[in-house]
Amino acid sequence: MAAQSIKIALAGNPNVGKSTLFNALTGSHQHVGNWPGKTVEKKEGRLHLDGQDVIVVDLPGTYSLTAYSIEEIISRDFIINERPGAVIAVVDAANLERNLYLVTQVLELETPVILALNMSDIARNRGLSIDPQKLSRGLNGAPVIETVGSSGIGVDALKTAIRQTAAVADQRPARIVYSEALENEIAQLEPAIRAVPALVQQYRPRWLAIKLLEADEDILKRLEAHPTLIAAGHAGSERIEAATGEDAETLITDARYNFIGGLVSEALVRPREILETTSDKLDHVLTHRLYGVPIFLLLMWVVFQITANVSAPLLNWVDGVIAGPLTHWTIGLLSALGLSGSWIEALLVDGIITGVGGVLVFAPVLMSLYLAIGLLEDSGYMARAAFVMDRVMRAIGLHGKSFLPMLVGFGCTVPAVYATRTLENESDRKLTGFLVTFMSCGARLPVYVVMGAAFFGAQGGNLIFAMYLLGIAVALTTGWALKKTVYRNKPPQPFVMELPPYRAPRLQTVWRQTWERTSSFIRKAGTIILATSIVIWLLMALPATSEGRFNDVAPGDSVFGTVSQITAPIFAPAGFGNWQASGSLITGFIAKEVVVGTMSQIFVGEEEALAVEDLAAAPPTFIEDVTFIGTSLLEAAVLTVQEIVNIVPRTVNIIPGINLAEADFLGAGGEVEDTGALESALTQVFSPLAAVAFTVFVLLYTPCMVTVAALRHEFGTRYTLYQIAYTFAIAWLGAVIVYQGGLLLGWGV
Amino acid sequence: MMIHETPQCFPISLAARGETVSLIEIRGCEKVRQRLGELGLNVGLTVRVVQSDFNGPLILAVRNDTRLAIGQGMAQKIMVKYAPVEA
Repeated sequence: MAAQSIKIALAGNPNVGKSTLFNALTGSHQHVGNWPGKTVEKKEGRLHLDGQDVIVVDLPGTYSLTAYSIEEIISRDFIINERPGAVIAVVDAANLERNLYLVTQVLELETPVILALNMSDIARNRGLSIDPQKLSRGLNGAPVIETVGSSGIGVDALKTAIRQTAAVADQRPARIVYSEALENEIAQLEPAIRAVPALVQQYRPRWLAIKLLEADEDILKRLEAHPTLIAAGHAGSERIEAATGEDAETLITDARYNFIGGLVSEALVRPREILETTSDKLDHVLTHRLYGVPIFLLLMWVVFQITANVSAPLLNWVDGVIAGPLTHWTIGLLSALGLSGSWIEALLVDGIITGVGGVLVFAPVLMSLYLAIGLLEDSGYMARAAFVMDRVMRAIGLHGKSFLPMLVGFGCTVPAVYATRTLENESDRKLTGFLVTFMSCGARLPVYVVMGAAFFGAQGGNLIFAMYLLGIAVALTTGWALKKTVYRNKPPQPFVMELPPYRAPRLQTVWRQTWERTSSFIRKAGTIILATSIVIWLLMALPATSEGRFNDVAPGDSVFGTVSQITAPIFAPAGFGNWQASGSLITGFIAKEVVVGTMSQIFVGEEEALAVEDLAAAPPTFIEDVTFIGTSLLEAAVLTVQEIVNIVPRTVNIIPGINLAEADFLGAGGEVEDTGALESALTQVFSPLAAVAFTVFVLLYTPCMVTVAALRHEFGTRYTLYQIAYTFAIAWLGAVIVYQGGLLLGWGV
Repeated sequence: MMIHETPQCFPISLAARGETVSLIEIRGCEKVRQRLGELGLNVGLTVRVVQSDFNGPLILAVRNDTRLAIGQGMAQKIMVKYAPVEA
């Protein structure tokens, strides 16, 4: 039994269920980090096979192993440098030919391959029958295993295959044989490569010869010290082109597909040709020239209805629990410790519970947003959204694929910045990276929710939808302007993208993703937002003048109030030149979620003190509190169902002249208004018009510091400074235009 | 080669939804051709047009099970002819 651990790599195209299989293999023994020096996520897991320690590395999803993208180079380098005991090539059994292309490239690296025919259930449902034994024979005996990652089928067989593959010392993976002209050149290059010991140690000579003939950019750069080899490779590909009339790369690609063709013709039996799949029929409608965009907008509208209204009852419940039982339990506990009225009580109640709690209440909102995005992603619709938006994006000189990072931006801007990597062209990437910050991320949503509820009640959803549309509009306009100026001479890149077939979303996958994203938000509440809340509480407790005493100062006279007051006049033309607004905007740079947290601390911190005194008169008993938590949760559940039902009348009611009644399960007489302490306080400081201007500012202004760091990492310091300046200017302009324009139109009352 | 025998070749951007065509030539730089090849689109292949609209992107069915979206600009560089009707 070897004490040393074996390394196994998982390789595969995007969207083949590689991650699900990785989870099924390694269970909870996972480590998620980054590849050294890169921001591409690296997932590593462990499993034990008969006492043998196996490390499984999940390589980034790629279509190929050329030097096309960072992900491809990472995957390739891993296989070359780490020489894993085996590469599990995960392929979509229902899309075998195209998926096997990557496998041919793994084979060329002369590494043992285990083929996982994933999603074999879908393939079978489509009438495809694949003979794993024949495939295995075509792959020179490499194990071929049918798997269904989501239900764990085939995972044990995969483990057995790992064990067997690792036990065989002398592996002879199948070899792709090229046309004569190519093979001649490979045969000439190989000895020259073998003559250099440093190269032989790192690379397989045949593979390197092929890369030289392909003129692989990354390899040419790495072999700069060997100009004779590069020259020989170049001469070789010229000879091939002269002899065959085709360039070497095309011939190599053809040979790989020929190999695949041979493999598949043996092992795959199709049903009597079904030309149109169900997915194609759906595409006739969903990607239609006329209906495509309206359907996309309708779906987005439903998504925002869900995030705004469906999550509201649960939000109110969390809010009630934090403001009620949690707060007076904390106060009760502190007074039992003799700390009643101390600064510790103020820090805990006014600082932490109000600040962190004010943000945490939005966990249900974000969870429903992430759930909706997850459903759209997993069903295959997201790629269609890019397709549908291609027409619009082309008007600003980008293609539809640029819209995908922008859609990711609805969740969080940071992954959106990294998602620009799927774009091949540097200037397209930079331009898209510039635009994603205008896509309204989940963290900005709480601000709209609070403002919407405070000023527009049940119509708050419209404000939210308008903000999302405005974000898209500003992004498109900015893109158009930049393309006309800074990126004038850059032609648009060709648009090519794979569309996965539509399928019923796998709830397990969607839920896992939703939970990961939501919990990262909750973690943020526990770290960044907690720290900010404490700092802000401190700044608010510190008096700015010598007259005030610590923890006994009106917020406006505190250090925080004074700093905010100095910056406040900047926002006067936009209608929110008060210190409370500018103060929360300053803290919003740390994380946009903090805007609401700060507002709670400023506005509610005061009032809570009063509320506490009321409570002191008749504090609810423990039993009463627990009953309250239970009954209000039940009520929230009923209201959630009601709001789901109400999506239908609200959507139909957009059509003028139709007025469907909305469901009202609890007989509360229409919408249950959320008249939280924060919302009622806001109405005293903001006019409705100023509130809209403020919301516009929050949508557009300088992204949070994490995004700034990501932008700097991806695009450099100068670019990021431009971005910061531009976003601030456009936000200020936008807010001023809304406010002053509104005043002119007489909406200012 | 084949180009000379087929005067009726045209850019795939002009093909209508539901039509089956075979690829004659992909114009454009080597890098683009290689990328298309990796995604499964090579000369000599027969593809079916799943979605096509005037001046918009197209959806192609390639190698039976793959669906590729290609932009209008790209589509104008992919030369095709009508595939012979199979028996």
